[in-house]
Amino acid sequence: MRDDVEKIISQAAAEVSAASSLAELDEVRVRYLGKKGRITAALRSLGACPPEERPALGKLLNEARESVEAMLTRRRDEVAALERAKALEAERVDVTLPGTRPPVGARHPIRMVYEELEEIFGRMGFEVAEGPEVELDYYNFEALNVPKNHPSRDIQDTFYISDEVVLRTHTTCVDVRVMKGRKPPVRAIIPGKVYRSDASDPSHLPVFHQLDGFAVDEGITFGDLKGTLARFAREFFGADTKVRFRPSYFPFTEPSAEMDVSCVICHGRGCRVCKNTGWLEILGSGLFHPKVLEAVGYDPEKVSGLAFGMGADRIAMLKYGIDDIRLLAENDMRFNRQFLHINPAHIVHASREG
Amino acid sequence: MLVPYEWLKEFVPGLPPADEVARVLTMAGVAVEALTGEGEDAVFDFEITHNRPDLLNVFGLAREAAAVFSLPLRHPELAVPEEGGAAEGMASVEIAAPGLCRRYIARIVTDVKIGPSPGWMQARLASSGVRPINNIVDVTNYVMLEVGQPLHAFDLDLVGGRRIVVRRAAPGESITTIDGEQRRLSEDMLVIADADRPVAVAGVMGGLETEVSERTKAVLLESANFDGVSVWRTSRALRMRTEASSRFSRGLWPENARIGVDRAAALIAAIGAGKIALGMLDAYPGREAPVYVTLRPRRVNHLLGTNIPAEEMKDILMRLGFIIESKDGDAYRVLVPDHRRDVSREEDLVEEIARLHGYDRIEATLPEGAPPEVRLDPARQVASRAGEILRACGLSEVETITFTNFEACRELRLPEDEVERRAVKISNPLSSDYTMMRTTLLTSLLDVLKRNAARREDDVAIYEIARVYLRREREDAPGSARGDSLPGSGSACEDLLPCEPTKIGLAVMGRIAEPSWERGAADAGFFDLKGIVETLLEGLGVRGARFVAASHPSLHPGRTARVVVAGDGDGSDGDIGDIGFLGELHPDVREALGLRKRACVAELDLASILAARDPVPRVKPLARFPAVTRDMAIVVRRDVASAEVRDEIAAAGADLVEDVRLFDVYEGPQVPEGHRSLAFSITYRSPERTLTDEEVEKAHRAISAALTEKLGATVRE
Repeated sequence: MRDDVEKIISQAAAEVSAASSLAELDEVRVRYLGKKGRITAALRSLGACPPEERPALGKLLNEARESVEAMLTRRRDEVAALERAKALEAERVDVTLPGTRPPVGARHPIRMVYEELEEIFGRMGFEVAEGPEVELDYYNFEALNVPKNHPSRDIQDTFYISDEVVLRTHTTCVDVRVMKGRKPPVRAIIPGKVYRSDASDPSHLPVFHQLDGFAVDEGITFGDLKGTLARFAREFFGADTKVRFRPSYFPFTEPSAEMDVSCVICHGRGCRVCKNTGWLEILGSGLFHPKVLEAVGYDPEKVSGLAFGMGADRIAMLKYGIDDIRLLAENDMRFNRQFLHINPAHIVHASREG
Repeated sequence: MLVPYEWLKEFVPGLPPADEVARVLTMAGVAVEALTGEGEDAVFDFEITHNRPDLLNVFGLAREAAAVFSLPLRHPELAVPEEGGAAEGMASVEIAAPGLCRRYIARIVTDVKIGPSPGWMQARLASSGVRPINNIVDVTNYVMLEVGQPLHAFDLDLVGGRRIVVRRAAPGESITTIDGEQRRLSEDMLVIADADRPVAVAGVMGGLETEVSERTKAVLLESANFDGVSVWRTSRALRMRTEASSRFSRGLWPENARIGVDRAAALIAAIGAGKIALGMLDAYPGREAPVYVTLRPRRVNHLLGTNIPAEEMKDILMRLGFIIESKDGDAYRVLVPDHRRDVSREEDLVEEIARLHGYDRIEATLPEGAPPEVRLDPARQVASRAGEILRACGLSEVETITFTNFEACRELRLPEDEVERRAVKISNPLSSDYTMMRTTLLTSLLDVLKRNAARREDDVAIYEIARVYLRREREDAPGSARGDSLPGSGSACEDLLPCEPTKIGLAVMGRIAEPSWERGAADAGFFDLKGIVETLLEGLGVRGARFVAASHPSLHPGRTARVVVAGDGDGSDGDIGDIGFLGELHPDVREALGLRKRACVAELDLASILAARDPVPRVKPLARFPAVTRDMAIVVRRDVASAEVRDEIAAAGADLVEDVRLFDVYEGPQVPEGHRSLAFSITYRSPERTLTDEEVEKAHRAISAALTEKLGATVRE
């Protein structure tokens, strides 16, 4: 009987390891441990044995059952792993096939520039203000020290709606509107569309974008103007950006200055974009002309203000290497979609070899 | 303005090399745009700012350069060798319009020998971009370039009565100018007339009939000071911009007329082109009082943020020709030189001091004190969020030109009378494409689709958040345009301005997503765009937006909806407003635009969205009891809107219905003609307890009964 048991175990072991599927394993289990299985049958026939052998034989058979069960369990895990592996193998994909992308829309570069400018100036305490694009002649010109019927109007070619109403030629008119309703200190930037009757060409559009800004308070100095704008230039164009201020003329500022930044393309070594000067003209600025402060009811003896205005299109063109302003208004999807891959964190320009 | 280096150096002999002159003058505010040629042959191209007409000539630039470089300045030769009779007896000058002519000087040249001017003069004219003509004309041009004074030479024998009258043109008068054009003059124009007729348009161009020619024996040389505004208006009205008119327009000073005429006379004599008669005819009714400006060095430093010593300020101003006359306490009385008519107040001196001290020597600082609090504009925040949502839906942002024209509106079948009534028209348009401001974003967005379709790009999904421009009508409340809401601009003129409401415009043509090898890709339709609009409105916190069948001239009559929303929630019954529309483009419009694929568009009003937003959204507590979901399929007439069925389900299910979702629409053989089957999934839940089967069954049956009774629906088992 003892020999029989060992034989059963060794046969079971052989069958377990021969089983290659969960179904076959189950058959083996039934054959040995099922109701009519061989070990079950042997246990049941224990009563026919002499009483003194029963305990030892019973123990032996129980051990045999546990051993077969253990073998089955071990083998079941093996077979399950094999079957899972087979199933997974059947599901293998070509990982180089293209992914299914959810549709994502791109930002327009002008908006990216505005957003970045709003963040930079926002950190310096400038709020965002807006005003009408169809504007009174008064705000666009007269309040900014450009009298009616005066030759200084030749500086800008203006679209007129009527004698009193124009399409604003700059966002500076909103400076006046904002100051008129407030007491200093005020710091604001004004993004928006502006209009000049210039025919379209690679660097002109009749509708383009500006960002004006100003800070009025007691004791605002020309040095503050320089410091504020130099900080903007470094944050926007990169920490190693240099700036220089050149005297200029705007009717609404005195003193007036134009700010150049070191060329973002060639880093000051000279290239086509900076016309070999190493500098790029970026914005006009100055301290508010006392007549402007008087027009909004401020006392120029007490209050002074720094003011600046820049073309957002030009800045977008420099930052993103765009060589024709018309691309910004055409909305050719082959152009617009490229801005899915370009964001303000990039300083996108040609290499230093440019 | 082209200026040869060697000409400049004639007046400032100590000048450094040309490239350094260019660099230093540019940094002092006299911009050199370009420098061509080498060494002594270098030529500057100056860009002179509008406030400095005194720099529109070689001597003026030399004077500035001498001040900037602290170098001695030579003056042009002004000594005139006069001979023969007195000018007084040879002609007369009268100013009949003294408001428009401050000074008129005439010198008489006799024994004129017309011929070519000397080579050196021709060479300088040529390098300054002026074509040589003859010795007399060349001298007038040369002097204008050299000292900035426009001159004109009349053939004295052709001047009627040898009499010059400076007057306004008489009604109906005209003149043929030396360019051969006949010019009709109006009464607000200033002319130079002889005894009978106009012989020149003052400050703009001379007349053909009195022009200097080969036969000229005597010349009347005019050097005058005309009112800049008057010359500017005349040259604009006649569409004639000349070297003379642009100089007068920007402002000249009467003293320069004397310098100009003497310099010209000296040159004519020197080159042997004629003899200069004794003396001159000088009518000078507009002598100006000297201009004084106060200088307070403390204030200069206060504005600049500097510590420039008063002595340096005085030195700078004196180098520039200002005279420090006296001192009163801390303030100096400063006499402005004649040629600096741009300087009229202390701030102007601040700039002079700053630019010669050097902008680069002023320390960069930041404004003192904590920055003011920043006010955020909710409309901008909502617009920004809207952009994020729409990009996440696959729409790309566009930035379009705000102009349009009647033809484009006609193409979209927009009603002409409404466009005519509401559009803001440009009185001086640049081209026929851009004659007015858009009244809807559709014109701009569809133009983008059209351009892309023309480039075989048929899959375009775009949005723009921008303004439209509507002429104000009586019912429009003042201040409804965003810009008007600023306080303090309360002038009556504001009514002249249009409304500029901001719109969210969407346009989808063809596919939104890239086609996938796995799933393919379908073109977007009405419900794709509607889904985007729903996502947008929900994302912006607008709850309960409804879509109502509607019509729009540009859109498909059966596929257009108004978007309606509960208003500001103040509880009034009529508190429902339109916030926009959406629909599929009408096939006629699509064909007119040359679009190959169907397109859907929407336009929503930002201010209405802002008003309809849930002002204080709060997080709801999570449900503590389980939900039960039951489906219900019904057959109703085709004209019963699905929203109506959904509302009825919600109403009949009372408080137990948490959500109603439509998951199938079927029309076909198993459904009677003119009917359709709608299948809803209804979620029941109570916030207070776990619902029993009986409760759900009761509610479900109540809904079924209500649908049968109120909408004539058959509930399918």
